[in-house]
Amino acid sequence: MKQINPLQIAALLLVMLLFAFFKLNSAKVELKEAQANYKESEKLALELYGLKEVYANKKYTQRALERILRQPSLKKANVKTTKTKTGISIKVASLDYRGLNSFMGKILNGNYNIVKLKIKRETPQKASLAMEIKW
Amino acid sequence: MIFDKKKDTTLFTKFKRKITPYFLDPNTKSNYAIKEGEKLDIILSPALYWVKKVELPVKYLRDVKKLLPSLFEDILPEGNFSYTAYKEGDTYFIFAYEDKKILELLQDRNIALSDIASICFAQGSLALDDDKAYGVNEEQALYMQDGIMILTPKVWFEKVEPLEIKKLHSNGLKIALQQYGHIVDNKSIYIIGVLLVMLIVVVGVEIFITKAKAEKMEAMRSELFSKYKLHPTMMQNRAILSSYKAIYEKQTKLRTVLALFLKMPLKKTEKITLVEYSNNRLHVRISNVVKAEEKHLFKAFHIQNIEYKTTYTSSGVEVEVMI
Repeated sequence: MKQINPLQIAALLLVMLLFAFFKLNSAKVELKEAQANYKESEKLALELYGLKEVYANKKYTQRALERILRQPSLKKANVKTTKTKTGISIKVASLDYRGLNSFMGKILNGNYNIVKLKIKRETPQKASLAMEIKW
Repeated sequence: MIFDKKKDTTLFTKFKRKITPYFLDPNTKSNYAIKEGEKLDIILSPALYWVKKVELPVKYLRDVKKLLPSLFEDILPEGNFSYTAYKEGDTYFIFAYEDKKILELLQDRNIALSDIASICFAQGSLALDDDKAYGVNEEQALYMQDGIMILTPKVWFEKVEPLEIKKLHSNGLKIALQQYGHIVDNKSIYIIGVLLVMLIVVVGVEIFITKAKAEKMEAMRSELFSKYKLHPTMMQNRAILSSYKAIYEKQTKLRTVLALFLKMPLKKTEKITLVEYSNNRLHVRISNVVKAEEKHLFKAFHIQNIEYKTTYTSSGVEVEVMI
């Protein structure tokens, strides 16, 4: 015959509701953190991917350099290339100003990681060039 | 397996309490002492409820229950009443009672709710002879009139029988008293309860959806890691990214500085004879340049705020820029 006070039930339900709100709040905080983490990771991933594609893509760099070196102005210049695991070194003993302009224009306009460069005027018309590009 | 029969019976009867009928009447001044292991079937005196015998064009009892407050509207005093009914043939017996009043009386008689097995109305529970009156206290007697059990003064009858309750009628209507009915009425309790439960459910669903979204975000993040072949920790990835950013900044600066040298307003006699870059240091040699021309030649460097170092020799100037 003993009955439960409805106010006690209401209080219990209220406590449950407060607990549910508390859990909801933590879930929302969790979601915000997850969203922030995702955004940060996405930004980092895209930046890293882009920069890696530019500076650490061995195949792309090799192909692009081969294309540049196949130019008629450079073909005659006896360009010597040495490939290593980490990069490529390019040496030209004597290059006329047209060849030098064309080559440097393409290299500087491209995204290459130049670690060493030496251009020396040998004669009024010719210059020597040594360059090391890293990938 | 052999059981000790006697022991088993003792165990069983220990929890089986004796049930005694008790006639609860506000005008009977008697305090009943409940024995140990005893429970009471409370029979409410007609003084504790209002009863009507009605014939209604309604088929079901549940439909009648909705009409009960309005059926008693004209006879009840101010108060918080509960209503109930039962059907006997085509007739409905409808009741109205005040929970609080009955509870107060039970408390007055030292009867705890835990000692009560059931509560029922005298109407329908007591099997009384129609032509006899049964005394319930010093002044009043129970009497059946047109199928309704009523309390009447004893003096109206020549002979009054003592009320002896041995057995209750099986079809007597049992009720559950609303102990807290005076605080909030049932309808309000249900509305508040349902609202709270609905809110809890809504919040619960919201929690579920939010958690699912967070899990999805985490899954998407993992996919991102595998798609872009990232390292397992963000610290590693940040370090790699900063090293690539440093390369990007240096290469950009190298190109900017080289462009400044190439755009230098040199005279016909002034020539760049050497450009050398290694260990983040750019070294440029320009022939036939005198110190007096420095301001003019390096104007663009000043505008772009690029620091440089010059060393003048007999053949020209050596320029050094840290990249």
